[in-house]
Amino acid sequence: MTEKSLWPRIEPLLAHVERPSRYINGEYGAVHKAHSEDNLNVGLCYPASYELGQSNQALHILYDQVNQLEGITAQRTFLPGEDLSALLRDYEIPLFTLEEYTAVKDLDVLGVTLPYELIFPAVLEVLDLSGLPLRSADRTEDMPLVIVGGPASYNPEPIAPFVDAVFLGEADGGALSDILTTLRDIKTAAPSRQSRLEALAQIPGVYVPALYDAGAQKDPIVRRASKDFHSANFAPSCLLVPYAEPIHDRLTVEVRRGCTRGCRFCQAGITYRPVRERSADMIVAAAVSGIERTGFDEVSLTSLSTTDYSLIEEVLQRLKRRFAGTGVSVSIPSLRVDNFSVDLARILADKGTGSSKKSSLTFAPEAGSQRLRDVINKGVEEQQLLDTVAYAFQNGWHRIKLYFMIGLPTETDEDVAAIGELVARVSQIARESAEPSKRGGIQISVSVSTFVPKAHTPFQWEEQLLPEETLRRQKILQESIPRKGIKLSWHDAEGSFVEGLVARGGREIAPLIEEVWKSSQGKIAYVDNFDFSYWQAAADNLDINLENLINTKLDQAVLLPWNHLQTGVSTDWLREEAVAALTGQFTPDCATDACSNCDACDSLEVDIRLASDLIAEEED
Amino acid sequence: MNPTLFRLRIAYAKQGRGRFLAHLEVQRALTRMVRRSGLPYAVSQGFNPQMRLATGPALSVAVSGAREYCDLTLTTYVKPVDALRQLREAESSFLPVLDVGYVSTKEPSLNAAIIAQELCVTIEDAPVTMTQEALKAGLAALRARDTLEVEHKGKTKVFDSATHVPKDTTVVTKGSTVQMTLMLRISNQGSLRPDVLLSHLWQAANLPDLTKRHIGEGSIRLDRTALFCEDASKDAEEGALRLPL
Repeated sequence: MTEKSLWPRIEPLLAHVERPSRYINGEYGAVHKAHSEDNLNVGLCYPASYELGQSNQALHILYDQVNQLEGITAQRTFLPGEDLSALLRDYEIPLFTLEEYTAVKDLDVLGVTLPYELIFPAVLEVLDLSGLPLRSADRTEDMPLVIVGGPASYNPEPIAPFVDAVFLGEADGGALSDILTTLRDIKTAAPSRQSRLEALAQIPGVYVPALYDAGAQKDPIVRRASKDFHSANFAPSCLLVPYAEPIHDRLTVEVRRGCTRGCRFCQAGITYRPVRERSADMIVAAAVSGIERTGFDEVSLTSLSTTDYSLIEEVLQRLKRRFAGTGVSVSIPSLRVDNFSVDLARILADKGTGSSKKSSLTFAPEAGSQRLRDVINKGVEEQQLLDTVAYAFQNGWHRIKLYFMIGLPTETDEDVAAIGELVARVSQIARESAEPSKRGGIQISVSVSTFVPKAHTPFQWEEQLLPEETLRRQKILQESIPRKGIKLSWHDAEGSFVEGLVARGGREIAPLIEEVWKSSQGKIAYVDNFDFSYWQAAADNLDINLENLINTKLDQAVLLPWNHLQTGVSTDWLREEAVAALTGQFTPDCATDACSNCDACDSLEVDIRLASDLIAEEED
Repeated sequence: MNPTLFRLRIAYAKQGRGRFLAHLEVQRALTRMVRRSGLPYAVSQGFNPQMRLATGPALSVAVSGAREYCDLTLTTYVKPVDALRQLREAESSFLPVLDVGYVSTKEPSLNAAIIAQELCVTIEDAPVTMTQEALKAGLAALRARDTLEVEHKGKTKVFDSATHVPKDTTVVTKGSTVQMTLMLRISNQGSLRPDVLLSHLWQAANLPDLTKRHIGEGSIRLDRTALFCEDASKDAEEGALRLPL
């Protein structure tokens, strides 16, 4: 710790707050490069609790990569609990970084991850706790540049006035280094804020709203994708072992990036194109050495769709052998609707991997009727789901979770009721397939979210339900679902409404975000537990009607708020997909089937790489 | 009992900023250290196999421990000097490993064997009336009562004073800081919590209620300096204590 350390002022507060271990740093594997005026000091912020933030894989990757850059330090910072936030304000202590306990306002760069739209007010809480003015225009020369990125930054307009720059895409394929070394190299010359922003605007993938508004940044900003994701110099992303228990307390090994199954509502399915896979050898080596070096008892193989990884069975079998008898388990986050996925779950559940408990299996049919599944390009037949459920229950599982959505484009009341009918058939098959002695323990959980149209997807112009209509459809749903043995849960209608308000909003949403932060008065319930009352209070204070503010349905001819930001997927292709949706026309997965001409590979200059093809290449 | 298993007792400290760790966090950190060390640890049987590692009596959040213990079951004998080296290479900064040694697998568990703890209480900016005499008189007054009643989560627990209140204390005063060392009984049938004893003591010694001090009024720090087992060896005196390792 340096002399600028705030620790002596923070320490006396810690006996008065919950779970103080979140604030003590010193975790095994944390990197302590000295905060010095000669270095470029970079804060990495996840604007929620330590427990949520330290679970975030992007943070792990960035932490590792920033620290590998010469003359650049990475220091983590999270949103403190409400209790510590209040004490920091009472004692006028600014928000600090964990590694060095330096004030966030003394950093050169504050990088903030935006995992989802509803977290935007929390970014303002971070800025305010740090003692930084909320609006970029009000920040002065010696203050850090606030750069945001991550899944919710593809329409950053609602938060644009508060940030200095937005990075679009994957930072780990060279972009992070481009941004930070540029700022490091000019730091000694003490350039003005303006010239630092101008330097940033030159870097592909970086959007500087103030310069764009002034006409100084003109070209559309194109997302960047990592070209070397599959390459051999990959190591486990982060070897930091938290003391305080994160939500996901395990080693993560990213096996695959991108998913091109082509669900038309899915933003990640667009913004991580094309599919790239790491080799089986690389993944096994990363998992084994990662466990040896961290001591975790679980490794999760992550991706948007891990069961689609082309050599998944081989990787699981090899890891199972390596971890036999060690109490170390392997997990995968989601399953496809097919028997193969159940077989994989069986490998994971087998004795010897550690987790022999048959926990629940999760499937996402998304819609109840075949017609609607065709509209969203889900590519799952009802018989396939029923066969998979039968297979799972015959093989000893007795708990499954099913994910559905309501409010999808073209949805009718019959489609909503079809969810209940499908669940009833699933329930019946489950009962018939399970051993008679296990029938009493059958649990089927049904989780239903409300469709929120997202920017850059084929459904970006589609209609968003207002809360009243969502509630009406939820009622139809509730009546259609059999009561016996089914646990039904759904997303809060107002939460989805507000998510949609921000997801497709423009700059006009910014004052609302600011007002929501104000009305919450340091309560961070907009992060961990959504609370609509702050949004309603904010709307009342601004004297606006939220229902008038929302873009319910966008005209294809009208300029979208995110028109200047590009994912590499052409808008023409999105339009074609929107038309294909109406006729239920299927678009296959380009990772394994024909190219669908979305243009991502060409415009980003990145190719599809499958692990199975890597082997074929080696053999040639 | 499996004759091929070995029980390695590990002495470690909970120190520095690590005193803010909760007991579960310490346990998790220890199992991770063991896995990193590469020692041949045993795992439990059953549906959810876990490393066989048992810790001693829990320390509260914000209380440090100078010498804490855990027992690790090994499937192969490893020379203590090698085990110590391997653990030290894998330790985390707030939980350094001090020493290791084998104990018989037949001995009772740490939680059953440990019966006493030595606590050091450091009071910054102590009131001038906090003297050795006042504190000793306070302890005597508490012992003179038959019982101490303690409210915990809506239930009243009754502790026998003669057993639970220490007979004596050593007090060192440096400027405005008072340091008091106490020996307390500890048992898995229920022990009097140190903070509860102290709040009774302030009252009995006519001192202001220091447990309700505000931030900035000077801190009270608790450090556990030692843990003891009963010395059951043949030539030991009745009630004699020994270190667990």
